[in-house]
Amino acid sequence: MKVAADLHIHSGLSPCGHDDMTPHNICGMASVKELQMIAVTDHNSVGNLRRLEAAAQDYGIILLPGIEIQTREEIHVLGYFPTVEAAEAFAKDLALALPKRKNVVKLFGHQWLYNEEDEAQGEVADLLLQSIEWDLKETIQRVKAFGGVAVPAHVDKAANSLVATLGFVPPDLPVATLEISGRYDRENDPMMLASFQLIRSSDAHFLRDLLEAEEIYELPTCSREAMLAYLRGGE
Amino acid sequence: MKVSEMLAGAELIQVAGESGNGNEIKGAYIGDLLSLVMSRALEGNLWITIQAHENIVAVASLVEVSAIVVAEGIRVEAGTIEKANELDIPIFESIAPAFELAKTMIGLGIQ
Repeated sequence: MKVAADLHIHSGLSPCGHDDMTPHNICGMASVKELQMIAVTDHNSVGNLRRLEAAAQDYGIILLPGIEIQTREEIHVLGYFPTVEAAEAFAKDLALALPKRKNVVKLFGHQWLYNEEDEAQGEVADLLLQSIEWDLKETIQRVKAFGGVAVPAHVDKAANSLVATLGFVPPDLPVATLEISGRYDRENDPMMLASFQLIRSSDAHFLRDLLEAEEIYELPTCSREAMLAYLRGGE
Repeated sequence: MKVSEMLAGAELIQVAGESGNGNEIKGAYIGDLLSLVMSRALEGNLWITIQAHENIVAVASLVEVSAIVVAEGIRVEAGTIEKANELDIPIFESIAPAFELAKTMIGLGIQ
């Protein structure tokens, strides 16, 4: 079956995410855009996933639990997990690898946590926009250890991308899927990424930027398991 | 040494933050991984980098570096300039590579 999905969205927990990016707003917008599955992937944190899971249920869409990790090399890697609990267990380890530095709202923005009513009920105090101590390989291994799938994010971008930081995609990289930005020309494949599965998501920080139903996944069922299996390369 | 005195002795183009030219330079730090700069650069350092994204301004402000020199002829983005002007962080462009800039700064007496 065909599943329309947007697997890279930021909530207001990401300092760069707009304050309108609350759980119900995100899921409502996804529903208006006729997406069947979304992943909200905040920087180095999963603090809003429980609320998002509940909101997604209200709108009849599937939330794939996710996170956007910043490795020691400043590469952004998306991690997708089978359950919110698995994502939270992973994030607990990650929090220990995040340098202890407080967020400065004026410089970086708010890091909102939401309640059931979509109200900001608090903030994560430690700055999330930092590199953790794990390198790329360790990060991928740790995502896998929690039953997840790692997908390097926006690999064609000039900042925080695998290619910009390391120069090229290491041939032995243990991932099947790479995320490309909206600008990448998939047909001509200028960076020769074709040996990987390429997916495109919005990296939305504003509600209007969520994908339309344009990135279509051919899956056996519309489920988290089916999407994770697809991102693993159909193992 | 003040940023303005350093500017007089080096071939740099100021693109932002002139209001911070009175900042005192205490040593220098060269680095491009922003997370490393956040944890290793010291207050008052002159920061030499090839990063030009607006995130450098937040990092500079956090660490309280005295000024940023963007090396290798890389052009500083408009958003970066705007933010640096807001936060009074001097930014300079230079066509020289970081090693050449380091030699120049040492020649000026920055240790």
